[in-house]
Amino acid sequence: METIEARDLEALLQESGILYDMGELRGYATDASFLTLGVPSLIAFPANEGECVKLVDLAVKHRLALVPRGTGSGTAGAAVAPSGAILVDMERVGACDRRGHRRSLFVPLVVNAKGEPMDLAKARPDDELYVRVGAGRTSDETNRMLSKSRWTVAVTPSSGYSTFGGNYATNARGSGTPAFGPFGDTVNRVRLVASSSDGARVLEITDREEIRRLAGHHGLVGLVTELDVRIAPVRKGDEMLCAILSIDSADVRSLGATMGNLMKRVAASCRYYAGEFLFIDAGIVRPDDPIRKDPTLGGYFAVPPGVRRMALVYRGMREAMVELPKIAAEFPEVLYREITHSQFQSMMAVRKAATGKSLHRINVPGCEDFIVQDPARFGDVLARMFEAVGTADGRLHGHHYPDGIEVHYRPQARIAKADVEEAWNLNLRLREAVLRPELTVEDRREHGLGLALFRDSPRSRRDELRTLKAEYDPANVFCPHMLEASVEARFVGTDFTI
Amino acid sequence: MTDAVSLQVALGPAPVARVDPALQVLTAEGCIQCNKCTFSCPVHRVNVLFSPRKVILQAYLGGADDVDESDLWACLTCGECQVACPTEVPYPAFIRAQREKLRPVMERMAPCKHGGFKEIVSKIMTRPNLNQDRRAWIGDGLKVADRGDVIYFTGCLPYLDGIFSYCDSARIGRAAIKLMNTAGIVPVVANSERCCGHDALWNGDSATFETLARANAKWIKETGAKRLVTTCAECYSMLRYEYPQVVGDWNGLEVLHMSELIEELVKAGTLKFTKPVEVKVTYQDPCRLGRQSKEYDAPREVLRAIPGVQFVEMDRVRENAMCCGVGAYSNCDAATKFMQQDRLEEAASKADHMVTACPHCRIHFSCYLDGKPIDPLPDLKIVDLTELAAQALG
Repeated sequence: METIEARDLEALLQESGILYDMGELRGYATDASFLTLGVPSLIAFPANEGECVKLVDLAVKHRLALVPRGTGSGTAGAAVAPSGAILVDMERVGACDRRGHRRSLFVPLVVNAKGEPMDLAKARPDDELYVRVGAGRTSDETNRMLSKSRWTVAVTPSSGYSTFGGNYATNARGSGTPAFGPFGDTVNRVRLVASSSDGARVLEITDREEIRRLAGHHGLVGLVTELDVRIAPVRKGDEMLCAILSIDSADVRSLGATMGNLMKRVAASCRYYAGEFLFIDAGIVRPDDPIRKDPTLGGYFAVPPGVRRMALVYRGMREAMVELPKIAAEFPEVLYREITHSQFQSMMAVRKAATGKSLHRINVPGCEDFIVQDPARFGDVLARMFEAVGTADGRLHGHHYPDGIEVHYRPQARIAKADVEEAWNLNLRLREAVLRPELTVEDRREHGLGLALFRDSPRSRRDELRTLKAEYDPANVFCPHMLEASVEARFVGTDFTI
Repeated sequence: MTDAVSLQVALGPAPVARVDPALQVLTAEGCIQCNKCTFSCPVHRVNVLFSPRKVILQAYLGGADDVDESDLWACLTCGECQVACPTEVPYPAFIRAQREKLRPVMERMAPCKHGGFKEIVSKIMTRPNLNQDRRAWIGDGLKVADRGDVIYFTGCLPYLDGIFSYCDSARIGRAAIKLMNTAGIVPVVANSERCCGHDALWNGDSATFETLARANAKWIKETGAKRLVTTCAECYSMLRYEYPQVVGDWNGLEVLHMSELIEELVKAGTLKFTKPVEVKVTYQDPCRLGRQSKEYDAPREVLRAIPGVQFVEMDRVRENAMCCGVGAYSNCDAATKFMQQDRLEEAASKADHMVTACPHCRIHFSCYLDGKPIDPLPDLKIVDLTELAAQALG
């Protein structure tokens, strides 16, 4: 990459009117993985597609590297800029008012599958509708505005604060995936600032197969500026069923076998929007957390010593989950309870917080997106995982998808090389213990493991990404480092430095 | 003993060990780097370079010394981030702790705006030999006492009009006394009262805060009063939640915000609103009363009880309410003006009066309207809840 003096680059950015910051920007050193670290010296904050075009023109002309970043809440490592690259913070794109200030209150533009504006007040529940949003918008703020009309974004990752651009770049999964698929399947239109040998080119993609092909691009193909994202009606309370199923056992293998068989029956007989599980221990919420006083939920947080408690929560249309209570009744060890949507959200908040980090500790991903394809093997998988984990910090949790049980575990570590390596080594032991054909466990690699996403991906996936890059980024300005053979050197497992 | 309290005498019980629970929580169950705080932050909306997440990451990658001084003071400590945070990281407490820690090494004092007026007033009130006339603003026809069951804690009210003359904050105090007199209460208004110390505490000057707290606690306890009422959300948060950590338990003294007292008196039938006040209003939740003290309902009940008032909520209310743009008088700049414009546009789209329950919110918004707004705004009046309630008395 041809170097350009920082002073000249600053002058170019000033001339372009794009907001930026320069210096040793430690505040952007990582994503949520801490497995890929890079302190950028320049970050740009484009506000709209026009400014994205200017940035890409600059990049092509001066052979600069651009690394797009949404919220930076992912773990793939793609939102971290190596030295010399420009980090492009996309959160303002399509989310600013005329003063250039990010506005969380906005009027969502709703369109149909043809892109024609629609009046949400007149929409019917079965209509196929999309919200046309800037890539910098998040699910949370969009859902807040849609909720007035009782609609919601169809697929909302548990990090509802991730940007839509980021959701598309990582092909995120979340609430709604069991019904609608991963995020890329819910996108009907994408606007993208790609590159050419002459500069930027703006593309509008409406072919659903091409959109799916690009989903999970991790920033390699361009700056996504706008998307049409599927929305779904919020059903009335009596139309929805939310339920919590829990089991206690000192024998985690037996616990897992029971719940695995239950989940197999549920997947065969029910359709649902969300199926999430977590293991509850005494310290999962603070002693003064109000949930402990909830008359329905409070009891779940008093766990007898020596016992593992797994809680599995579902949300779906009542008519599509008619069989759930009957299925639960077939498993006498399982406690079934119907809960309100508000209580379901409370449990999701516990799950989200419990899988997080302490301030002086970080989560070290490495055991995520393990899909147990045969739920009958779930007990064996759990037994091996708990044995390997021992007394390490971290909480096992996951999703129940129709095609399998997805398990996540992240050990916690202090931000020191030795501790991160120890946590990483635990991850390696866990992977060794459970990524086995006889256990029917496959690593889906959705979240990514820092840059190991690219290092360890199957050859076919790397070839796919290279093909996409050649088509959309012939100037090789977007994340040029990520497909290099030397990417391994920047992965914390081999070289952890800040 | 005269009202001129000697602060050299040990005041109150021995101080409770100040183990900051906020910091303990921060280290035990803290930031997961999700960035939800940043998207909730009103400062970030107008200044994209400011990010609570970035500040925390810098702090624990580089140590507290790595926190940029401008980031330290840009924070309003409004708590919107804490409400949004999945792990309820007490970010305002974290900022407060950093301000206190870094205060000795900072090149300048906390940037108190308006010529440092509020900070100077607080400092003056730490002096032991202080003669104040805290009743001059009350006027005729209103009754106050030296001793009694109910204290009216006026805070900085007697001094605010010295700078913010266009606000006439003393009207709030007169309205409060009128309401209490009508309900048969003759409140204590004491010349020995001091500034509550809110700004000192939030700007990292715990020494000044503790001096003020001890001085206030002494005279309050000497009155033998059973209740203390204040019309200021900041004084309320200090007296109710922060003072006990410094001066010990209040031993049965009940601390109330004026909205809570009015609500109670109306429900008991002791106070009756007989004169309609025909206005369309919306309500601005003050940060210290709302998010920090969790009192969202009493002010709303008071508004609903006033005949003739048409009450319309804004979109961002209660725990999601947007700050008035100034925290502890330490930040008031271009970013503040944009925030205030944003909030006032929202208020003006709903009503022609914006009601608030904190004299400082009223001052900050009024100050903006009295100056040159960034964009034209419909005619919007900023009025205090207590003042509005007093208008409804027959």
